[in-house]
Amino acid sequence: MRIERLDIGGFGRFANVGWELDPGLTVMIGENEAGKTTMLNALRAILFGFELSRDGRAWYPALVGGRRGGRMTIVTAAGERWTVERHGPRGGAGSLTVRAPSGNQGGQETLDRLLHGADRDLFNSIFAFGLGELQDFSSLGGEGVRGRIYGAAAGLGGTSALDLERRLRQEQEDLFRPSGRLQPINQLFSRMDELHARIGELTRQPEEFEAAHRERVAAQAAAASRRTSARQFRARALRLERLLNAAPIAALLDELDAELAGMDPALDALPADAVAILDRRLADLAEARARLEALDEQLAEMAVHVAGLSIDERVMGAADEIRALDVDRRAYATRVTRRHEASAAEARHAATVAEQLARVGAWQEGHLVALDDSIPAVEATREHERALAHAREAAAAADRRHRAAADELAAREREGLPAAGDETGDAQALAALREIATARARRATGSPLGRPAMIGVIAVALLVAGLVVGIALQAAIPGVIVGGLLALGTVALSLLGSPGARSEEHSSLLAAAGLPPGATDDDLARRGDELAEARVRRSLAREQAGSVDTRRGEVRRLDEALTAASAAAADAKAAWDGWLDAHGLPAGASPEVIRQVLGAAGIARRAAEERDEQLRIMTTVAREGDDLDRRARGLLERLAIGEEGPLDGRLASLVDRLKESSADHRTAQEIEARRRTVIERRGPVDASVQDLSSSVNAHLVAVGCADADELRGRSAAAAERRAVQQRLRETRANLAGIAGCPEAVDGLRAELRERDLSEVEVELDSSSAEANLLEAEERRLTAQIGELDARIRTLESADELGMLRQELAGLEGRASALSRQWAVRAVAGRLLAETRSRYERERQPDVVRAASSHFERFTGGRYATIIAPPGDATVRVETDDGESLATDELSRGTAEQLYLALRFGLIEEFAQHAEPLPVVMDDILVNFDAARAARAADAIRDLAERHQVVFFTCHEPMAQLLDPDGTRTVALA
Amino acid sequence: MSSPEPFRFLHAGDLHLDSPVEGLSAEAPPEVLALLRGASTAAWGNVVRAAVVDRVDFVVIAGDVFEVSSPTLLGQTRFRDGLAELADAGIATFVVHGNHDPLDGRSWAPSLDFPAAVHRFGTEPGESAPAMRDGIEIARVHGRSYPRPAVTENYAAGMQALPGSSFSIGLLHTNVGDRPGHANYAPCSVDDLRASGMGYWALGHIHQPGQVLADPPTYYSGIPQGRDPGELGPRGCYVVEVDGACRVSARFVPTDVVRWHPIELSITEIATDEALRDACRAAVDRAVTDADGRSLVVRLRLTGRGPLHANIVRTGYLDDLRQLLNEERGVVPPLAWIESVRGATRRQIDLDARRDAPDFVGDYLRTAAAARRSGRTTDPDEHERWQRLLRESVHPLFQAAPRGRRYLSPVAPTADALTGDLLDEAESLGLDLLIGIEDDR
Repeated sequence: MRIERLDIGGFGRFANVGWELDPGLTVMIGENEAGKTTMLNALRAILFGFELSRDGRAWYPALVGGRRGGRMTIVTAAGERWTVERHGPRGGAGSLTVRAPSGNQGGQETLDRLLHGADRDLFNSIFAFGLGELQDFSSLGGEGVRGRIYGAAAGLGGTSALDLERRLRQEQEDLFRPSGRLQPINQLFSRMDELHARIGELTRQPEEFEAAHRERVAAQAAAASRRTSARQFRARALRLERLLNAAPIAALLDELDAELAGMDPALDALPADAVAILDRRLADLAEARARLEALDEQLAEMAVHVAGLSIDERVMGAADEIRALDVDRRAYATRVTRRHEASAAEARHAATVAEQLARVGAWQEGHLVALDDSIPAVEATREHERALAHAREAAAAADRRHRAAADELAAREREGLPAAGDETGDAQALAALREIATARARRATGSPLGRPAMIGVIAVALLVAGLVVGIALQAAIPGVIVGGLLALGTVALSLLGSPGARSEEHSSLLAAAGLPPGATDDDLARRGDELAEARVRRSLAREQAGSVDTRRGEVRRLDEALTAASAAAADAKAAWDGWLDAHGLPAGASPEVIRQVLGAAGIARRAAEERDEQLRIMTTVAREGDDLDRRARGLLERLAIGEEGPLDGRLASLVDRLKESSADHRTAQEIEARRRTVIERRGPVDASVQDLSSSVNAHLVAVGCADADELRGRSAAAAERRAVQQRLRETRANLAGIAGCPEAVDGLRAELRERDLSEVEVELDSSSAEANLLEAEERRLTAQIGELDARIRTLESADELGMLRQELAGLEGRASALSRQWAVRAVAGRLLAETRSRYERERQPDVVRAASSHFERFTGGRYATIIAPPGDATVRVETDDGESLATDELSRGTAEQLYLALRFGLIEEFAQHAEPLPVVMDDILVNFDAARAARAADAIRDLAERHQVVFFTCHEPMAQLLDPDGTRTVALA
Repeated sequence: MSSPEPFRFLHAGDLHLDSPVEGLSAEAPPEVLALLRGASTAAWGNVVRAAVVDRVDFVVIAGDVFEVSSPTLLGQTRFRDGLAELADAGIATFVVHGNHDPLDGRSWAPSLDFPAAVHRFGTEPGESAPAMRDGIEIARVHGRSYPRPAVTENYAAGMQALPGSSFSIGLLHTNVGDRPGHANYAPCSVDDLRASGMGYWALGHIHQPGQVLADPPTYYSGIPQGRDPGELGPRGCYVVEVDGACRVSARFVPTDVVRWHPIELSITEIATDEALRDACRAAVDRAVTDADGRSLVVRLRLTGRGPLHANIVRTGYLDDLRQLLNEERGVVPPLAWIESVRGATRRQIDLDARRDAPDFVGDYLRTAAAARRSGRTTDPDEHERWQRLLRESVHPLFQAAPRGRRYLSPVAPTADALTGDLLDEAESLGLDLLIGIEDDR
């Protein structure tokens, strides 16, 4: 690989400059500050980024403008052309663009591959170095450089085994760091610390459980003890309290005993209800007596009432007859009213009969009312009326039609017929015209067969056209005729148009057609038209003559119809007259008059019938009145009632007397019934009064009292004694309740008599206070037991310890897995390191051998061997006489030659396995003596055979030494 | 031995109540943690239910009810509650204590009241207790509890059926035949068991359920709930039937509520990330279907050689895959939580050819081979050199860091691991990195 071109945008003293670099050796010469080192560092910067600021000063700022950084074109051994471009204002990677030959862009990774893993350290130490790096062996002996060299040599491409080791180390550190906190294993450890601490606390749970149990047992025992003592004190206090409560009751008991002792014991024998029984019996007796008195009063009242009644036995004996007569007379009063109404109606109907007779005039009542005014009769008059009218109207209409037809016929006959013309002459002329047309048609076709055919076609066409026009004009026949004539005309014209016609025949035909001998085609056509028109006129004249004949026939038919109508009218009249006669009605009257007569007859008949009915009613009523009067007088006489006054008044008085006697009679019967009832009830009441009186006396005897007052006095005394006894019982019961049982009452009373109550009160207060204290203590202990129970239950079901243990087990599992990953990486790293070390040991002799060869060449054979023990960071050299020297024993120049030789060895070793990289050297030969410098220059030129070499120098002789003919020297302005 | 009445009892042990689930290599969501946390007590509940449902006459528990190293009252309370439930159902319980819950005065809260129907064997030899039904002894249970965690005495040798007694059951927490991987507590041999005259040996200590002897019938009940990734598959207890002729038949009853389930999946036929996810999904779905409604904690291990290896070795890839699969499944019961996805895949390269190549990769593989050989070499210098180098490499975390020393000592790489599986994994990682570089070139 080689650098084809280097462009600097802005870097130190350079701005926007570029250089083409040839393969092989390029010597760049420039004075001090010409920019040799700047260019070297620009090259390093483009490949590996910008170094950080030092001492507050930026590393190669773009002093004269331009964009800081630059671009490099690289050509690989395969001829691929890549560009690497890097810019950045500060230290660090800046912005890198690596462009492949394909145009694809890449970054640092692509560049690393392009450089085959050579990083900044490797490149700066081995491939691009100045005097400073050359003088420093540590830059060569660093692990990085060796690792890279051997990595490249190991066939691992751009990545060294060291990279893998570093990666594994990084992965290990990602898992765990000895003093880390955030790495997974470190975090697990921290959590495990916490869990162990907490678990340590919780592991004491069984002890706590046992302690809680022990505490609970002790608390239970203490509580039981307190409970027993408290009960004793409480019992004592109760007894004392009972004593105090019993004291007033015991005193009352003493008083009651004394009171009872002062009362008559015999009173105990008197029943408690003796007075109540007496009072009840006396009350019953009083009630019975009152009821007896009330019944007696009722009987007396009834006797008085019966004495006050008035009953007429005579009248009562004729009661039925009086009532019947009274009913009939009341009915007759209604009949008299009816007789008055009949009289008025009779007068009204008689007037109606007279009115109808007056209306028809000259009729007897009997004749008129006998007429048939039934509905069929009236309808018959209407039928006859309609028949008469119809016959009259028919005759008039027939007369009107007959008259109109006769007038029409007379008018037609007056108009006459149109002229018919010479029909025969026209037919001959038409035949002549047809002949002429046929002759012309034959000439026109020139063919004996073809022309007539053509003419025929035309003629037929004209005929059809005439028919169509005729249909259109609604005159088909004339149309056909006209068409036929036109067709004939056409034929005639065709024939006449023939130049070869026979003139003789032609002239005669023209004459027959009514035309002059020299007639033209127009004349022929006009003559045809005339003949057609004459034919039409004749047809019209024939139609008109037919129409007059038809009218004459019509007049004759109407005349016959008129005669028939008149006869029908006469028949209708005769029929009506016949009906009048048959019904006894005057002849000549119209049907309407007859209907009026029949109406009056009907009205008169119905009024006469009503009048006769009213007369009959009036007669019947007068007869009934007479009968009643006769019956009334007979009855009054039998009862010997005076004849003064009108009959109706006396009869009414009799009826009233009958009503009064009947009412008193009913009252007397009711009183008698009630009286019997009262008498029946009175017997038992009287017996009850006797029994109750005996019972009262018996009770007084039984209780040993003379009378009721004595009984009441003794009973009150007995009640008082019982009350005292009851209070005594109650008080003893109270005391027994306090003492605990009835048997203890006497003992209690005895103790009360002996004790001083104020002392008892003091003793009670003391015992109560003691009991309260002990009970409070017991409650506290019970609560404590409850708390301990809860604690025990909590401990029994405590899940936290298990949960934490489970979490810890999980963490241990994960720690195990992660530590396994860590260990695998540790061992893998160790295997890689061992391999690399072994590889370096085995491969180093090649590098050292090559370096020895270069060193010997540089020193002109003075030093033949370089010794670099494996794993040792030191190098020794052997002189040609076998003396072994450490590097610090060499002169500065010789040491630089040794380091240059080692670099050459490493460069060649790298190139054994990877593409040769460009080598850039910055005035490294200044400390070489002339001979060694010349030999080194030779070696550099040899190196340039296989690598691109850029050599910076500010010494002209050095440039000449490297490039004697100057073809490869570039002056750096 | 005489036992005219057929009877039935339940044999359980190693409840390890309320002890944490161990071996989780990833942070579990709260739902999973809660499930795992309550799994041991829930499984004990299942044991109790099995006893009640199967109407057993009594229950024997062969030690390690919980762990003295992580005692919680909750565990003991739950145990007591279960015993009370059994007692309420008329079922007596016989308990011995093992190395994890010895009767050393520390393990059990003395104040915790056990039901009267519970017999806890003491630490003295020769103790037995009758199992009664309707006032008649149907069996006699012999047992002995540990007085301290580490008992090296052969307890079984001192346990003998009483002459003429009813059907005898030996209840013991023991390691029969010095099984590897288990502490050799109360060790005994099968001959000791045969010589005892017991009709049945109900053993505890080994968490894998199974039969030890056919005559006399001897079973380890196993643990009712697997507690770490090593305790795979169904876990539970035995329901034992004894007929009128003293013939014994034991039926395993699974009681675990969550099951550890390893899945191995080869990437050989898988070409894309999506196809890998699909294959993982399908494998987990199959496991869920087979789990009979139980929740699963799945360990997924990817094996084989294939193109996806390059992706799999990328940092974070497997964790992302695991999280993605877990997010898809959610935490709806029954859970199937993928605890880890581990890569045991290999590159598609000819390792032998690369090992012989004269390049850096060849050097690397030869270096690893040398390290591996040093574990078996007879050259003490070489052995010592590699041990020192490898120990130094892991020293900063496992030794130098105080908390690493404290918390990671159980998992600190052993000498064998340093030249064994750890070295293999490291070699593979380094090789992946080196080959990755080659691929990138």
